[in-house]
Amino acid sequence: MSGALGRRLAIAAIAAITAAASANASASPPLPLRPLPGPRATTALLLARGGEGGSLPLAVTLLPLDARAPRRVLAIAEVEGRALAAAASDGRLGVELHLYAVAADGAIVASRSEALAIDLARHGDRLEAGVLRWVAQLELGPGAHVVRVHVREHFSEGFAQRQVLLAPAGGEAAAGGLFLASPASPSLALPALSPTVGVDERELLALLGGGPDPLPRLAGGASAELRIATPTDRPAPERLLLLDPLGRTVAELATRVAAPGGVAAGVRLDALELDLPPLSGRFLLAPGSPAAGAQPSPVALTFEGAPPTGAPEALAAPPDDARELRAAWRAAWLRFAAGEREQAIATLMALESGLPPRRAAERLAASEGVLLDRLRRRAPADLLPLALLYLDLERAWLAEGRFVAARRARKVAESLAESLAAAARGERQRELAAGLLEALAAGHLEARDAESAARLLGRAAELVPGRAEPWLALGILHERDRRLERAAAAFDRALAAAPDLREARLRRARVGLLAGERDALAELERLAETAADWVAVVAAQERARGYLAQGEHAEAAAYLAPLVERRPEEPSLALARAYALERAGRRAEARALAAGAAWSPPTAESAPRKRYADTPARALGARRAEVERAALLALGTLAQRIEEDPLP
Amino acid sequence: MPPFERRSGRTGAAALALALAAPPLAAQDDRGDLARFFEAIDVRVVELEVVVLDRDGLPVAGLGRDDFEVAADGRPVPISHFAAHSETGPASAPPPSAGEQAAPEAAAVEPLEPVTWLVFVDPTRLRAARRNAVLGEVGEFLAGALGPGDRSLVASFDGHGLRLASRLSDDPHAALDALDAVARSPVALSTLDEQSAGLRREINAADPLSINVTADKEQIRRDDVDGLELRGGTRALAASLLRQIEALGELEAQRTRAALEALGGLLALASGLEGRIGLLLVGAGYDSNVVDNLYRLWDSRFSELDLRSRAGLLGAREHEVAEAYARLLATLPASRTTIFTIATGEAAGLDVVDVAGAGTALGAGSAAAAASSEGRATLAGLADATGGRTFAAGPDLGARLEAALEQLLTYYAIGVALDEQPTGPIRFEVRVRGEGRRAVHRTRRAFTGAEDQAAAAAISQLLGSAAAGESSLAVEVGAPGERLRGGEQVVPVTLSVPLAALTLSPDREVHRGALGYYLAVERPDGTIVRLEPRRLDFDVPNAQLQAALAESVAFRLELALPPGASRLGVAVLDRASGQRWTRAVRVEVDAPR
Repeated sequence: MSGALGRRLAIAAIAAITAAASANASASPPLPLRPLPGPRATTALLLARGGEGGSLPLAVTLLPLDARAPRRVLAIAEVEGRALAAAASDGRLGVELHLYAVAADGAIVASRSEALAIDLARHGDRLEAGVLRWVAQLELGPGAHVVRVHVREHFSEGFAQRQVLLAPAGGEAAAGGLFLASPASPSLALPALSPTVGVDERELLALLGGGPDPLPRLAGGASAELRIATPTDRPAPERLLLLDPLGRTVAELATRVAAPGGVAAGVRLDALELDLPPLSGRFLLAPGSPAAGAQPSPVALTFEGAPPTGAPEALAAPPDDARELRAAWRAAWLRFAAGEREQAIATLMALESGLPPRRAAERLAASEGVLLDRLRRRAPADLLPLALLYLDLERAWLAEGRFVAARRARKVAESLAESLAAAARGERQRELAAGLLEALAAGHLEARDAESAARLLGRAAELVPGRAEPWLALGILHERDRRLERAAAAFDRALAAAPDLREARLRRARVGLLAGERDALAELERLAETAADWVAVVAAQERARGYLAQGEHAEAAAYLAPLVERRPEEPSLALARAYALERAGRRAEARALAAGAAWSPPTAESAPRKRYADTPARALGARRAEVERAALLALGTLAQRIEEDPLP
Repeated sequence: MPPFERRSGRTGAAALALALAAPPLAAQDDRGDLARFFEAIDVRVVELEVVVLDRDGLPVAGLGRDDFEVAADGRPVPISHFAAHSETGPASAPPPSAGEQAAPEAAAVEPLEPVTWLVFVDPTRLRAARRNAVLGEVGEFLAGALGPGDRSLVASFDGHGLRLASRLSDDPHAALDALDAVARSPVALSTLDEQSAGLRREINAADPLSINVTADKEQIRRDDVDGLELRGGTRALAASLLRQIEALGELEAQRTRAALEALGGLLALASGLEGRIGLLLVGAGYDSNVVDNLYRLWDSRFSELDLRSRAGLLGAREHEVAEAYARLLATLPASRTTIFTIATGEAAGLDVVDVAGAGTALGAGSAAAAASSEGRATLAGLADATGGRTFAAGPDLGARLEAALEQLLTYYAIGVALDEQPTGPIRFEVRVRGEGRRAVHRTRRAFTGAEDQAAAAAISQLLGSAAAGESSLAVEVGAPGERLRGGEQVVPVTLSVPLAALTLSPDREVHRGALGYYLAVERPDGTIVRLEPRRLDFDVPNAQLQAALAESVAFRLELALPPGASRLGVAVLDRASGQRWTRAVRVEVDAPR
């Protein structure tokens, strides 16, 4: 898991829109959106039920433009581009974007569903370096609303859902928003503007500048600049409050108007300067007083680069009493179960950070450990959402560079997954537990910890023996570590589940070849003949390698000749044959063939051996979306289980 | 068999129920390529299938998006998505020659789509030996062409209408057996040759100077022929021969029209099939006036007699045949089938005329069709209109047909986004970069809505031999009930689709959904009946959404079916998303005691 991904998860509730308007010239033109009649029923359920989750990093912010109803509200959603691009199928993405506005009585009072196609050949570089940014406009009544955004990739089914509370309109209620200025490049966003966004609002978005930065990172102890949108009849706020993740005020910060900004869509954009205290960690920035113009969407900040010179008094350690500490942990879990995943993660991090280092393990055992044990005993089948929470907590810690804390979070996630697997009854529960174990194994693979991945994959494969993927992945791990017998056994299990799985056949044949199995050569020949995929190329190369190993260079060249003719787009086959020809003393032919192979255009299939060498992490992540969806739907049950257990 | 008979079946009390026993979701239903994903959303995204041929007529692979330019009705349109499909990969693109810009990056190669081969044999004016030689070559080609997932079907024109000699099958033997069966069948129109030969003999034998006057007088009295001053017997004979020629011409025109309708029927049946569709049309073409030679012969003998007032003009009969051909051509822009014609006999061709609504389409019928004085023009017109090609019969036909296979396998799917919803057919022009290359494609595209496509898909289900593949659509056939007059029996049928597969629209406290049901029945006598479509709108309260996700939306209807084995083709359309599910089932009704 990349650090950037974790960082962006950490502030999913708020997006900061940055950069000077002058830089807007280099921004990408909006991608065309197409209206959808609504979401799939499975997605509709998640949107109607609420909660946050999913495997795609998503940030959502709201910008209300009117103080009184009916309120125009801009909803800005940003999906991390790299994670989205990883979900691509054959270089293409189909992205569905859904938005529900839910009133206090639960009625869905506004909705919007749109879709877009992204061709990575054209937009891949920009997407992978930045975000996909969707802006839609709503018109809402006076009461409080929850705005939910759901992003779904059509082919991989990877998704994310976030929700933001919009306070009621009227009185001193808010309009406007707070935006952090940062040096992020405006070119790093692929904008997608909903047709619902009006002309004035488009002008405002242009004034705000180009690319948003989902992770506002600032240097503690230095001055910073941010931009604020306030109603034109109100002054910019003179003070802002710095809050910790538990909602406690850390500092009051005076602001200076650095430059009055332009006016669009009924709000004025000012640039504010302020001096940040010498802190590091996560904070929220909120308006200092309602009279200065209420701020509905505080900006989440991460201060870095400043040594932790000592927290202010307000940021003192969490409660010393074990029971109070358990209550704090329980509250964080309940917050997560109520759908506030990001806030829950920030709270857990704040709690853990505040523990005195020498007694941290003891305090954790007495608080979180006690609660986990009780929950594990009472409701082991309902642990899925909590396991995913700790998986995300690991990523958040990794993003902070806190590797010990990250490792602890992963251990908690794995122990919860083990409990879930042990308690799994019925096919569905076993599949979900196996999916969770595979997702955890994928994380180990990314960290190149094959041994831990193999342990989890073995457990997943035992849970659902009929699935080929974990056995294939397990076999690949053994193959990479040259444990040939165990690799062969794993591939055999994969093939028992899916006899036509060509990759498993190829790997089984190659392992067999290394072990001296005679029929492996025939299998390689069959694989090379029967399809035109990357497996066929590697099979042909391996078969030719068999000839070369015996010193049969001319035979290798002869074997490859028809394959080169049939697959002229594969330079690797031509080069393999050129090598064999050269070894056979036919140098002129070899040179001609090698020269001819060089101009072959690159294609997605052009690196078969790279495919062979890849870790199976991607295949293992395929079930993550299903597990995430199930976890999101199980939040209510988790809340019930937590609440019905009296605080020990 | 008539191609279609639109008839309203008895669909009695249709009721919505959220069935409690739900089948598991088939995840495959939720997948599809990007083009389908967006075409389902918005018809303004149009996908063109383009084959690029080099100087030698060989398909060129390995080209990229930037190698193409597309114009719609003469205006350049941007390419919204692009995919290269090839069996052999993208490397047949030659390296750029001197002076030519470096080729842009080639597109990734898409997996092959399954191909459905339809063989339509029109034996009109074919001699058995020649027909069977061609069928042998076609069989040889099919045996090698069918890859994994490919299917084939053999049909013929039996002199009256469309006859399916085999069902859709992935077994090459089914197609070969069917081709054998067609080859064994008598040549349906041999009487044309016999009657033509007889009439030719009679005209040639009729010497105006040697007619027996007495016999002529008797003939004249019987036939009530006027103007007997000179050579009255000759006039009577000439009039009699002319009537015979006209009767034969009328018969042949009827048959030609029926043959065109049979071909149109097959194209309609196939219009709901997925994947690439190639139709091999074996025939001599469609001639509006097969008795023209007899007229000419008659003229050479009896031209002094003023009996043929319309000689040299396009008669009503010819016009009707031309109109039937034009109607068929007009349907092709909306068809996804690529027609490859195999010119097996002699066809004089016909003059293409404009008919209401088809005039613009005829333009797409190409110059080849317009140049109808040449033989095979009608076949070439059909091939041209669908981006196909025409082959001449010959001993190496099987090998030459490989080009058709190549064409279906090596192509580019080019998506273009139109500014607005098309209201009629659009003329597309695709230009390809590179000297000597030409783009072959369907030059005119018409657009059918999701409902029409679903109706076509229901009928296409009847082409298969069994319920095919995985589908989230469950069709439950109940025991036949009430016996109606005429022996028909009421059969309850329940169609169920899992709610989880549907798209819903939120509306305050509920989510709304809408389904369309399209059914076609193939009765025991082979008649295909299309039933009136039905629509079902339903609401799911938000609070019950989770429970409902495990359930299905069920639609119950009653069909009145005759005794024997009928087949039911069903398509269910999610009207919100455009997604559809299909299935075919066999329904047995006992004969009345």
